[in-house]
Amino acid sequence: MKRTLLLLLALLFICGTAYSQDKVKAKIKKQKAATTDTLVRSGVDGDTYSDVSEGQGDEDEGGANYVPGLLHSSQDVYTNNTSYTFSIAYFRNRGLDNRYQNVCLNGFSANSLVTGRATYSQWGGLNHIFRYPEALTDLYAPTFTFGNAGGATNYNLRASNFRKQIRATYSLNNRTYSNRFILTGATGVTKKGWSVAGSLSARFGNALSYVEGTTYNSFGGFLAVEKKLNSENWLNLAAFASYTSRGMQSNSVQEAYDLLNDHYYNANWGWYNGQQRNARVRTVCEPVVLLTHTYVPKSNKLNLTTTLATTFGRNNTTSLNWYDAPDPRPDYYRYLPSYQISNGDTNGFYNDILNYWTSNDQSYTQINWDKLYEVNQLAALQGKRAQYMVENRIYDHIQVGGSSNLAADLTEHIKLTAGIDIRGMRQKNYKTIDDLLGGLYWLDVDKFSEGDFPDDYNIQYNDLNHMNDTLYEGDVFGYSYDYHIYTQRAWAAALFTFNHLEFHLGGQIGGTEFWRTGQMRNGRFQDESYGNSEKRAFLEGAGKLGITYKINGRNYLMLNGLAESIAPSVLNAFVAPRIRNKYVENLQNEKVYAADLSYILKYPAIKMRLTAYFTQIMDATRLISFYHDDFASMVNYSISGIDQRHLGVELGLEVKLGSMFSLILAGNYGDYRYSDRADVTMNAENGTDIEGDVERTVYWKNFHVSGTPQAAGTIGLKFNHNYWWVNINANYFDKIYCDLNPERRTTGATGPLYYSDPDLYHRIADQTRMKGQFTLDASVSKSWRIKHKYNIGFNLSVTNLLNNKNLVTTAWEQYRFDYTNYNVDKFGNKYYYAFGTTFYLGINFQM
Amino acid sequence: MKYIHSIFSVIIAALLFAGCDLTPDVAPVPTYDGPAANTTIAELIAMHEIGSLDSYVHLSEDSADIVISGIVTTSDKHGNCYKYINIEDGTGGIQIKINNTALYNKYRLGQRVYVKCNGLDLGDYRKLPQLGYWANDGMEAIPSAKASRYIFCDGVPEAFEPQIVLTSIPSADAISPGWYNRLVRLENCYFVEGGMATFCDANAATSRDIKMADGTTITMRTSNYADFINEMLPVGNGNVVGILTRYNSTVQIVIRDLDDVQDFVTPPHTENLLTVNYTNAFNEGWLQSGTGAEWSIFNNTSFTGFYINANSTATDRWLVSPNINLSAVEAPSLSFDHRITGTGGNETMKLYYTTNYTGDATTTEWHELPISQFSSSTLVGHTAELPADALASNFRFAFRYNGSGSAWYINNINLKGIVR
Repeated sequence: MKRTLLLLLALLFICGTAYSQDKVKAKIKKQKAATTDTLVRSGVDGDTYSDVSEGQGDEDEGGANYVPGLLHSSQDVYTNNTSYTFSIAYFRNRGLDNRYQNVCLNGFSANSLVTGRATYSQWGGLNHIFRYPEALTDLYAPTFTFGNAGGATNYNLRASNFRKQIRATYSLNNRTYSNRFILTGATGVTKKGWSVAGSLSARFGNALSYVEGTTYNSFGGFLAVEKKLNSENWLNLAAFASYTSRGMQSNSVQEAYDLLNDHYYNANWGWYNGQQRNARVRTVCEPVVLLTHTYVPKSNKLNLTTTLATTFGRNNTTSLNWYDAPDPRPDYYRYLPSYQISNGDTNGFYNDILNYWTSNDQSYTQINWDKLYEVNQLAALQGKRAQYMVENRIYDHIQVGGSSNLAADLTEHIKLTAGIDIRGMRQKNYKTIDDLLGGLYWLDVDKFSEGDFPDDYNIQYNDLNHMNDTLYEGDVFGYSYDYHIYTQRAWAAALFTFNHLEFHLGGQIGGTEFWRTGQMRNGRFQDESYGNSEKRAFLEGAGKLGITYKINGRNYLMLNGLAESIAPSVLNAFVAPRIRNKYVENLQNEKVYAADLSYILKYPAIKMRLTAYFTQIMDATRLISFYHDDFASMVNYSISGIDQRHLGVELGLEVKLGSMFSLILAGNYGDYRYSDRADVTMNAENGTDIEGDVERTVYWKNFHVSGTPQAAGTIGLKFNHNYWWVNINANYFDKIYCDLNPERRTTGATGPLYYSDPDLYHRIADQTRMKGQFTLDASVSKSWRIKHKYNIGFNLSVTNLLNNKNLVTTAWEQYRFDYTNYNVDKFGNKYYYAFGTTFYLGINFQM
Repeated sequence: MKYIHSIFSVIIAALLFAGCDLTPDVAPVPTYDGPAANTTIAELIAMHEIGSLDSYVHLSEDSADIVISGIVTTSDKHGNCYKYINIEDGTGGIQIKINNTALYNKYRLGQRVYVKCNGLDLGDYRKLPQLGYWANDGMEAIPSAKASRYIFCDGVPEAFEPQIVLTSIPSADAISPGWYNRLVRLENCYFVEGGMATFCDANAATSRDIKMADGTTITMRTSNYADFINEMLPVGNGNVVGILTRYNSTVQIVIRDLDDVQDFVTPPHTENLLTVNYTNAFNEGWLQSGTGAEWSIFNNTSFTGFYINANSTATDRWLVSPNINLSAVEAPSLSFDHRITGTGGNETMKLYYTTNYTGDATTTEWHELPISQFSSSTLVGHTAELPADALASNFRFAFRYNGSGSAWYINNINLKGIVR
């Protein structure tokens, strides 16, 4: 807090002289842009075995893949008033995953071909540049790209897009990192037709961070150079990169939070040489280079933007690994008091362990690095292999592609948009030994296979091509495989505009092809692990249709629809992607049908949008991986035929109260459910323990889809006078559901319990719903013009003023299930909680 | 907030999914849809010839399907039936060894299961048939992870009663092979060590003999991992339900829990209602009151008991027993041995009882139980049958010495009665 006060004083000193009155609108945007970055969550971490795609894509942004919505992007009264206020609860528009939202850079798709999601960390920290995207809301007519059920966003990264300026911003907050500097300069268009824009950013420090043990270091840079070739042609080269390395926050069971009386307990770190050392450090650096040609004829009735792009780089996360040794994670279920009780011990160990937790003995409640070193050093003295180490799970990708997008006003009434997008990507997935923790060497054998097949010598080895190698730091082990993905799309759409009627229709056709290349010959699957898999290709298509009835200039009725068929993600295509080339059965396209009906008011004093929406997702596929207690094996669990139905209403209402105040009312009430049962095919990763594939049905029809509050509302008051802006919002979030472990809704887990033991059945199968929560936010900002040349401003926002620490942002059931005693609390639900009161202070200087 | 929820819910329901049923899904009861049972358990057991040593036959995966079906009769909920389940189908029963605990959750009592036997080994342990894996010269359990390859639940468990009732135990070889590994009821039997031993010793599986009414014997075998091992075996006669097994020529029964020990009734039996610890009697409820010489304890190698010697002192002294509850006792009798020495001629020595002791013998209303025989040369025994009005919860008896000339020795005091 002292630092905060000092900075506030410094700010007042700086700002004490003069002020100016223009740039009002820019200021509003600035204020919002500044808050954008605060949405980026601390690096959080899924269950170690939760997801094969763990560590990929924008999972960086939060346990629930949270990405800010179409922020400050449109004039939409609902989006404008909800995207920031709802972000604390990881709210997702219409309950849709981010992969249903397209993000483009100069028209080139930035959605990863592997995860389907845009990787926001690629431009983390470069907020001056990535401020004003153009947006395609929800299901509206295509503009720069065809769009998806969740809408689309395009960032214009042409140097000429940035007017001449020098701009510096410093901000301080107590969320993920403490400090951020951004310095940006742009030349504007020179007389010779050149434009240059550049930006540097640094984010660092965790002194104020809400979560212990989360280090943060991030540096970003952006440079764009554009030349106006002639009056109609422009050529732009933009390159940017953001390097971010951070210690991540763990998720934990409620028992651990309760024992420590801390909803932000982080099990990922422990004391080492007097420092907090985090075992889970994620480092991402994935540069992007874009060469963009823009053609705008003199008539100005056509825009043709063509971008050639490459992205490449690394996304890696460290993690503890161990062999023939106790689990080093401090919140492992056996280290919790409840396990002692369930084991019948309520005296000896139980009291000790309870005491460790309640007194927060950090040699017990955090990673005990010294012990891990000690075990390894003792082994080393005997010449034996290390038993603990830190591994580094690495995703290296390189992508090359191009897109070309056209927008043309054919006649007064007809606007044509069209585009093509071609991309190819290779992603290498492997892990290396990051730190042997004082141990001598490592052997690459599978700890789960070893016990099961004592007679089969080969089966335990992860790579028969390097069977008896002793491995050292930096060596690849465990798994190593590549994904190759190629995709092409072409689309076209027409928008017809008449006096009282507007309608659009469009279509997209495309294809995706992918395969896997194994770099290791795995001992369990010698014949289907090394080399190329079969290639699979999928035809994709989409159609859009919409009509707007303009009752008058103030009242609009709008109906939009979308149908699409999307190739499955390569992440979900293989039964055991780490080690096998085998595809899951019945791999098929996912289908999405979406429609919305809106009533829009546009009066000077009242703006409103009321929308009813419907999204039906069919045949989605998902692969998870976890330890299955009934089979005593790690299993790959491929869920296919996932159907979801998302229904709801959105309301955005802004009413001006006199010249200074506006009243805001906005919210979403949704109902997102699995609309049918899903199918599961399960197989063991450690060999042939489960003969063939075990097939199951997941009985989760009408259970709720998780990942967002399904109900969220805000009531707010905006004040704007004399170039002061003050916002106060009261928010309520509800219908927050726990993510389901599909296995608990199979006959395998419930057996005949529905009849023979209904209480137990409901404990196993019923879905947990979190309590609804209120939060209160406030922000104030102000800017001054100095000597008609400089612009200085500040922005202070405080989120969750009432310090409500009980808002669950993410909740999920562990995939591990106690098949011995059917005790659902043994592997309890895991939770993330929204931070209590946080502040964000930004100071901005511009000339 | 609930109000707003309900408004929205109604709107949404009306507008968008009118008619949809949003009841959460329920996982159905598992049903078996594999090949039908084609082998009875009796036929299965017959595939393996039991020899003099443990042996087995492998049920090859390459040969024709062998599918059996039966009802689960075991439960390891209470720690007995450790790492196996038994199923039976009316023709026979079989033990299936599975390397896991808490099997009762998955294979519940009364659950119908199908077993695809191909790939398993059918063997015997001391002549008791078992399904499992043959390894290390014996039958071993199927690894837990593989059990679901072979064993499939079907439908909802239903109560299952023993199909076989035994009132007599034939010899092990005389019992039909189709009876072993099945649930049986032993009717009208008793534990030889009833009331005297626990179900099982603490550190090892234990055998306890059960006798049938006709005198034949069966052994109850209990694992020391059972949670009821410290319970006392019941006395009296009753019925015992359990799994019929054998260990070579020994016929055995294994109970699942204490509910399998049923209807045990303790027969009327004579019980000792009073134990006198003579050397400490006055601290254990014996009282005295009156005048003159006092009752004391005589204790040497030839006699230990109560003793009073007036020694020419005028004495009227009562020795009162502790309170004894005779309300649930039938036909109690009080007996003792006594002797008198040095007769003075004026003394009386009498036995009384009361059910209304006032705390002072001299003010209590006593009823005399006449003593028929006195001897000065030797201890003589005396037994008094107590009348019906003595059968109360506050019964006491008393010895009264009145006189001055002699000594009275009393020991071997016994109070017995029939207890139901």
